[in-house]
Amino acid sequence: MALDKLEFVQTANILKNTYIDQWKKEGKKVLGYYCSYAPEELLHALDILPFRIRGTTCKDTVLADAILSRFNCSFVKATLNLALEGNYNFLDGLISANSCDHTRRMIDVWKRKEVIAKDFPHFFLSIPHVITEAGLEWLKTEINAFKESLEKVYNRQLDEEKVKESIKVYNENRKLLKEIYSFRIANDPKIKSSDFARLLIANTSVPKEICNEELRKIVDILKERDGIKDYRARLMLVGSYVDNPAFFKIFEDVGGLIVTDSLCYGVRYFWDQIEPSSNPLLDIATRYYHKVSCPRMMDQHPARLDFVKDQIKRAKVDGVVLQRIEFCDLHGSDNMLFSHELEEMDIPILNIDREYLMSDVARFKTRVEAFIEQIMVSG
Amino acid sequence: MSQRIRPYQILYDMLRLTLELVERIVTEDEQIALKSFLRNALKVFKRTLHSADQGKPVVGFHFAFPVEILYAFDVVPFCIEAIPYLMASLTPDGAEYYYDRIVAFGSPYHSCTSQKGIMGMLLEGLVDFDLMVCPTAPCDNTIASYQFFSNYMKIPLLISDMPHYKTERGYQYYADQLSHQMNEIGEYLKQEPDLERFKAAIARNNQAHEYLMEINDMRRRIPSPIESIVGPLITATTILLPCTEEKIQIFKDIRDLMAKRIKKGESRIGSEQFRSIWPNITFFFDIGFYEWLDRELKMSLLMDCTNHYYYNPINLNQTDFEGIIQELAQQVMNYPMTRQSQHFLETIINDSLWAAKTYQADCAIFTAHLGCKQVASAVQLVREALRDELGIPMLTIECDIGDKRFASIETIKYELSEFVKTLL
Repeated sequence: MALDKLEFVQTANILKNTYIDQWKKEGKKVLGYYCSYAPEELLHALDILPFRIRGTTCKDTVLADAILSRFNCSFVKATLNLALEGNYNFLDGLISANSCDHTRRMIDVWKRKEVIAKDFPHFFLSIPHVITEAGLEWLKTEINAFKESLEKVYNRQLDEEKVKESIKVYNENRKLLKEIYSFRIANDPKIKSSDFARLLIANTSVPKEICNEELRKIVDILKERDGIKDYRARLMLVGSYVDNPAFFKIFEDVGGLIVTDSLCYGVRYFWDQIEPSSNPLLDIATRYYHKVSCPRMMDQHPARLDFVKDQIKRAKVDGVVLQRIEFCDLHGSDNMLFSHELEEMDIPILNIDREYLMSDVARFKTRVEAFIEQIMVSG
Repeated sequence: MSQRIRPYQILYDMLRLTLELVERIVTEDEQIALKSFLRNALKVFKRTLHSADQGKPVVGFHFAFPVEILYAFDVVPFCIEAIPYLMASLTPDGAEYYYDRIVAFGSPYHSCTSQKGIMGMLLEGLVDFDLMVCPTAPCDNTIASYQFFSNYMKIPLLISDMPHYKTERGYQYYADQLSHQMNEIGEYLKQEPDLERFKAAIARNNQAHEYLMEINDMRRRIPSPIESIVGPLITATTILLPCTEEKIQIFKDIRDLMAKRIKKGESRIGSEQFRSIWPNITFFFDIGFYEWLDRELKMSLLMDCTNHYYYNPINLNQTDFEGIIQELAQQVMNYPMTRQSQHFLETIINDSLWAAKTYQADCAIFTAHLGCKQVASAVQLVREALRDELGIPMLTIECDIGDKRFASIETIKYELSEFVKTLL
């Protein structure tokens, strides 16, 4: 069965979906969030649906261009454009963090321009940029303050037992995604990266209990499937945010299978679990603080390098694609380091920049094709 | 002279040549601020080279790091971000070779030239750092570039984490981070921090601060009693010569010149038709530009975001590091650029409104510097605030303040010339 025929998976192609309609009909709230550092479990425990902000369906950024500069990230511009067009009006609040210079400014712009409404609730998380004991303590306080803000704005009280339950639901979700990932890294992979991307996108757009139910079905489908044999190279994708399955299709069309990645909307989303204890808020803070980081974490490059190396081995990768959305200094610099550090593994590397809206797809495709040729020749 | 900090040697020679040139070309009464800067910078550079020759540890510091802490130790402080821009000011092609060097190595072309310069110089083996210190602010480029220094160049790096909030909790967290960082520096260098040296450095900064406040107060006068070049000179002095007697001297010279002119009822050289504030930073790659701004465009540059310090001097009647560091943490989080970049955008909007009102500006010039994505996001919001609340128009110039190849000085002059036509 083709996964993209499943209603759950199809939610990746749109923003507001029927699950959200149903959720809102029940009088429940939906909160948008920009960054994988938003503690979703807390929202879940308060019966609020976390919805990851993405640029799906964006065709151009005319409205956002009038506000932001041309040096700003095209992903952020796409999301702002969608919001200015009213496509995010189904949200009941927005969570931002100091993730990067582009996304952290969204709270300012959404607020000042009253993008959704004048009294639209905004929440902000200041996340430390280095790993220390004091930093964990800061984040714990920050998450607690966030919890209190949510309680105040939405007039409800968080039950600690419910948080523990939410942690279980999310751990189960991450476990299921990891199981599906194991089909992706198999010698004959059973799922293409474009489909895997759809699952991950749907997974941040639909209530988690439904996600888990659907993911279990998908695991069963994949178990019965034959693996893919007709590919030319096994690739790993590293770098900036990707929320467009069509991006992965570029590689698949020329025989490249992305079998693993180091992306915040990819493997990094589900790699680390929460270790439950008697203090669920601390458990949440600990997981988000110590998870496989993005380059915003200033002292964690060695850990990211280890993660990339581990994935290369684990997924038997033939070549690594380092990519960044133009004007992303963080991933650009991290990719520069990777491009030199991975030399010791003697693995082919493609280091490339791109626009979020894939306006330069032909150039990109040519380079990917040449890269796969290079792998075949050197292979 | 020391081979450990070659850029200082190169710049020492360039400062000397530029001073000679300026002294030959202009009369004694002209370019007083520039000449003061050049003379005093030469003294600091000479001393720095001498210290490096003596084998003292060379510590690279980020411009948003409180260098007062380094003065508590016996080290050679080396400001990472100031060097490429001083080179851009004093030499025809600035640090362009070094920018290109690191871009060829894989750095994104759009990362900040303030750090790319030193990154390229390190690949060329021009500096031998013993240690680097930095905060996690005010931008992604800080976070990105310093990872190159520590992970690729293997330079030991000590980091203090700066939070996003300017609240009591934020200040306390950062004060603790600074205290910890100071201990780490001492442990690394195997030196004890010296309280008296620390206080003396702060005292010098306090004194310079008082002069700067006087300068900024006098800049309110119409027409302006001081040339526009004072803007970038204040920035350079603050970043390049922190905690030095020479910094005090430069600000005193500028203050005295302004006071003298005011007393005599004189204004700056060239007539003033337009009064501008610059919500971001100014250009460094063409110091002649400011002469053009004053004389040809008849526009005064009255304030940019790096020229004003929104804080009071530190109280030195304290007997230990702790209390002083508490105050220092608050200062650092309100350093120019850090203040506007690290916090929410309301700060840059409010500071721009304040500057425009205080200096009775009739326009604003916003340099959207390629490296400052966190500020570039504010362009339209600042423009709207100035227009809606004060009726002041704003010109945005997309540029790289340290690289003339991105937007040439002629392009910038043309944009400004066209803009002022709309003000008439």
